[in-house]
Amino acid sequence: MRFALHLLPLLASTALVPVAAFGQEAPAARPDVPAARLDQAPKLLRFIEAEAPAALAERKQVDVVLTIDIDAAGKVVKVDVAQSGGQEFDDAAIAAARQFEFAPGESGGKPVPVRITYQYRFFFKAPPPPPPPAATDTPRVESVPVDGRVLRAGDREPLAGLTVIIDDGPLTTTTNAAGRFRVDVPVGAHTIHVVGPEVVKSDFKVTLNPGKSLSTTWYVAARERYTSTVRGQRPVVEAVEQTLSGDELRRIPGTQGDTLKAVQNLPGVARAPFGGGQIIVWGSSPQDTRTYVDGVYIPTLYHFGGLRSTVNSEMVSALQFLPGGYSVEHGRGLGGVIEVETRGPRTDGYHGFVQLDLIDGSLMLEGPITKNLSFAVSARRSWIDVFLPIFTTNDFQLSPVYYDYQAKLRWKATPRDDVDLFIFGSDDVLKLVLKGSSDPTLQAQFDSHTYYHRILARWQHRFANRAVLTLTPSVGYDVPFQFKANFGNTIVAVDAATFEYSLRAAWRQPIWKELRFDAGIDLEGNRRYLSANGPMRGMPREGDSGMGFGGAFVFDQVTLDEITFAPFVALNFTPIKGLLITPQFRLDVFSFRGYQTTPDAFDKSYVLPEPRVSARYQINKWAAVKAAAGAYHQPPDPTVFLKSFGNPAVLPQSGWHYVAGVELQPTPSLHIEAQGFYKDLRGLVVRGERPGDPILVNDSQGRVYGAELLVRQELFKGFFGWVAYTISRSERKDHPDEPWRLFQYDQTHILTIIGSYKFGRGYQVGIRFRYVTGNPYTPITGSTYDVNGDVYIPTQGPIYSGRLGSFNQLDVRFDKQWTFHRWSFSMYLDIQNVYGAANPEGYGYNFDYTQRSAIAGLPFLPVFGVRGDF
Amino acid sequence: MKRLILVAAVVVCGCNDNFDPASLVAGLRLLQVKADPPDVAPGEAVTMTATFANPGGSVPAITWDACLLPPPPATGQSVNQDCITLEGGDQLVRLGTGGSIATTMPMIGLESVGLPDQTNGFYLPVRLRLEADGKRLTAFYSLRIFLGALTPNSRNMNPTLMGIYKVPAADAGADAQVMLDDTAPLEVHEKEEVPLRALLTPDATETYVIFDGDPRTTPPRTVDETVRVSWYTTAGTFSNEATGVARPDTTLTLDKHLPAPGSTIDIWTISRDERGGGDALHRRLIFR
Repeated sequence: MRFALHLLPLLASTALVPVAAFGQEAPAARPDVPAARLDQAPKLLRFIEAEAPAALAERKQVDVVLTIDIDAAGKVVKVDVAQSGGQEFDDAAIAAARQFEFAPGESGGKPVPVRITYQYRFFFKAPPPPPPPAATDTPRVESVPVDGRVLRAGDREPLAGLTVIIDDGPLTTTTNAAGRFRVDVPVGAHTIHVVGPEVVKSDFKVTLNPGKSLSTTWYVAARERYTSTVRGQRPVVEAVEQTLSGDELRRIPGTQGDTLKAVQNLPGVARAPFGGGQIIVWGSSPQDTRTYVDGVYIPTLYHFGGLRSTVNSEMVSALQFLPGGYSVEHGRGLGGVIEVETRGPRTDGYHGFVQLDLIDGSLMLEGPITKNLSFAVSARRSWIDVFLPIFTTNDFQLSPVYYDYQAKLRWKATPRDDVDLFIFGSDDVLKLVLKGSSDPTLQAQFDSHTYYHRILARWQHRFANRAVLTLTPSVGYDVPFQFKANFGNTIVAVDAATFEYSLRAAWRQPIWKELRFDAGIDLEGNRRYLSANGPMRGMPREGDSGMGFGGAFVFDQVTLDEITFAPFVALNFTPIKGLLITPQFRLDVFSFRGYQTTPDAFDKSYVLPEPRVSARYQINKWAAVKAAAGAYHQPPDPTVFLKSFGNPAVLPQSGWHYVAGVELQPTPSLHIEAQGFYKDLRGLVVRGERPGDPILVNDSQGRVYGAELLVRQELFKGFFGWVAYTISRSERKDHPDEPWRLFQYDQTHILTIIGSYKFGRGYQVGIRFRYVTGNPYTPITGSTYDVNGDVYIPTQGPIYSGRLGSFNQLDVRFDKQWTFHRWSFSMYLDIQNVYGAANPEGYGYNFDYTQRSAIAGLPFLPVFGVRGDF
Repeated sequence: MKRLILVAAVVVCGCNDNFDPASLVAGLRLLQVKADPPDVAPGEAVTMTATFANPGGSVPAITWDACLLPPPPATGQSVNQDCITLEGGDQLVRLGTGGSIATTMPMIGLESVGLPDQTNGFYLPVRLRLEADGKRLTAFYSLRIFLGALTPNSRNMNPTLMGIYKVPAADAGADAQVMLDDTAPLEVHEKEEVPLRALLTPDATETYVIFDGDPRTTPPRTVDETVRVSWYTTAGTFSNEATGVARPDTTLTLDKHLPAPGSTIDIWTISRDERGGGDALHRRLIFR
């Protein structure tokens, strides 16, 4: 009796899961910190059949699920059994898998270590009857060559490492990196099977005729896109970090296909009113959280109102969210950090997409230029201004227009050098006319035009001694805020324009197995032109005591030179197995110079040491504890330096972050994280209210404390989702002799539940449910009539002493994708507020503030869109 | 900017508060204070008259006080918030009582009255308290201080209302407008739409000079005074609650808050310029 053995390498639905952050360099590093999305999945180049245990004849079919760690060279470094098929089968599968060879996975254009889940299937097939005795005069069976190419249906990506099995074997071959294979096959009718970890098993029937070769291209359906996260090699380890990546995140309800909007659903992020784009992290002001693209600061992540992110999701490989306690790589903010990493262009042919919905349209094209040079370009333009007149009235005309663009070149200069050139920008124009009267002299008009443009280059060199140097210089031109309003003869205008430049350099040097040294420079500078004409009270500030009577009008302008420079160092030290301690130090130097050559000239510099430390102990394979603490500083908002509206003498604001938590990973795709946090904020800028005070002073202090929980199921068998819950309290004390009060966006409970399921055949359904405590508001206790202005001035009670009703909302999204050989087409319907909850976002008052009614947030809002990919 | 977006979101989401408009006078209201002259030099006499309403109630007792508490410069405001509740002391100067008072602009320094507004004007905060039927209304009128040669502008004048007119049908021509006259009140009916017009005297709007922008590079701007006419009524609704010189027409629709047949409907037009000047007219309609 003989046994025929067929081995089907099947990738589990959670195709890839991360491996240790530092691969072999620092084995104690956290194994579950995602850092970047895979641009290129590992390809199986060499498949080894396992020795079938004898028990297979009895059990007929046995599955063993393995986790395979593949290093950056494509070598299998570790194989574990995730689901046993029995000791004999486990051993056989492990022995075979250890001999596999892969083309390594890539992220950000460089090979990275990746862990995959691999299902090894043994199944029994009775051996064919023995061949009849060979006759000496039997003619030899003629074979003809079959040249094939296997591409993924929909986007034509060549599929490497697939096993091509002729009939039931034993004749097999494997596709190469271009998806090609060649095999000589006997003439006659055959069924050729294509199997592999990425694809649904596909069968192709061919009939081969004597003397005629066959050349063919086959399109096979992908099992799952590689969408999970990987742990790249980051300069330092972050204590609390969430990484969003993957196609599935584009299908979260309420995001309208925008991956970067998904960050609003993470723990620690408060809900912005009206679904707006403010990122309120761990009780800090929105402007305290900084956003970077490939390490370069951008002034805004979203187009106005949070409609869309300013960077096309398709250009993004991952979004890294650091709510607090982050490493020395970042600074200048008391809130969190959002780091958007863009991906490299595809090199396997020309690809792109066109997407249209009721809000905007976008398109993208990418592909190779030469063997080592590739490009990607994308653009988006809104047309919501076309639809808005349906909702607006003759007395109220709103015309918002935005666009953004991205263009990227990647040059693989040498095997050790990658060079990126990335040009991107965003532009928002808003026009608003409030008629209020038929008389044009009594109408009000508001205009705002904001934008940013950036050019960045990134060079990464990998030294032979495993050191890595990354340099990222950039320049840009921004109008981060601009506003003009006309009320009769009165003009209120704020203008700001900045020339931005930055340099980020990071050096990562492994010293020995237990120690790595990281160092870098984080430089940002700008020349800013600021001017403002308007009420001396200036822009509204958090904690303002409300409107006042009339008010002085002033004009001011300044050219502000701002240079912030921060060298940083970090030691990644592993004193005992599983324990990683990272002492860090950052020295922030802030320099501000304004009103040059005038009596009001100022030139101020501050040197601010920022010691930080983080520690993480991996207790066992699935549990770890962590803690971090650190000092942070934030420069004052630039408008503060206008002496007529602010106070150039205000100091940088400071804070301490403390974090401690646990992480659990009971399965390769299930991640549970809980942490407590405390933030101590000092020297916050508030209005001076005592006699003799300047307009703005550093009197305020803040404290934020809370805990958060994240239970996150990465894509597994068609399902992904998470539950995020945060309980917190954020308070401010505006002046030393005043009591603590609530912060403007303090939200005690924030619960977000997200789930999405792929039903197969291109159907997918997702839900998002949110419950959030209402925002604080300042009650109005009366009013006083301003005769000249013909308006009532409200009398306010204690600041933020009231609380709006809670928010709850269910969003649903339906997707359907049709995959053709050379392209795919998809449609989606994204419905926000399915059951029409009237969530209060504030109160509206009658003319004399004697009556009020709640202002409801977004109503039932369906958005329909279509998209084609090629 | 964020406020704009908030406003936009409110409108887009179709929020509707259904409050009565400010033009509906249903209780104790102060509608206007007219100072004559509206631009008063320190030590100069001035007469101030309040236009008030209290439908169905008694005539309010009115007290007039000048508040000399300077607003904190850092706030940029023209009235110190403490003036609202101040109940005496050296900083509160009683100017008089009643619906109209004659007084003198105190001899005060500009440091007592805060910073100039967008028309480069300094103002004396005058607090009015109206009390009637157990209700109290507090209001502030900012009396402009004439600075003579310190500013390039001549004295401001009150924008005088010539009258309130019923506008004829469009094809009847503008000359056919009929001035409302309390000696022969216009009769109106339920559901009727009454086109009304408020006309100002030809010299109601003046020009004046303002300084905005960088004084080193931006010359002073000479602007035409903007006059806003506010409409008030005790019944019905106006199509425009405010009109101007160029578009002086509104329509009173008698659809809500109607009185009993045979009762009187009061309407007021209040003119305001940007520098504290104003005027008021009151007319009665007979509801049939």
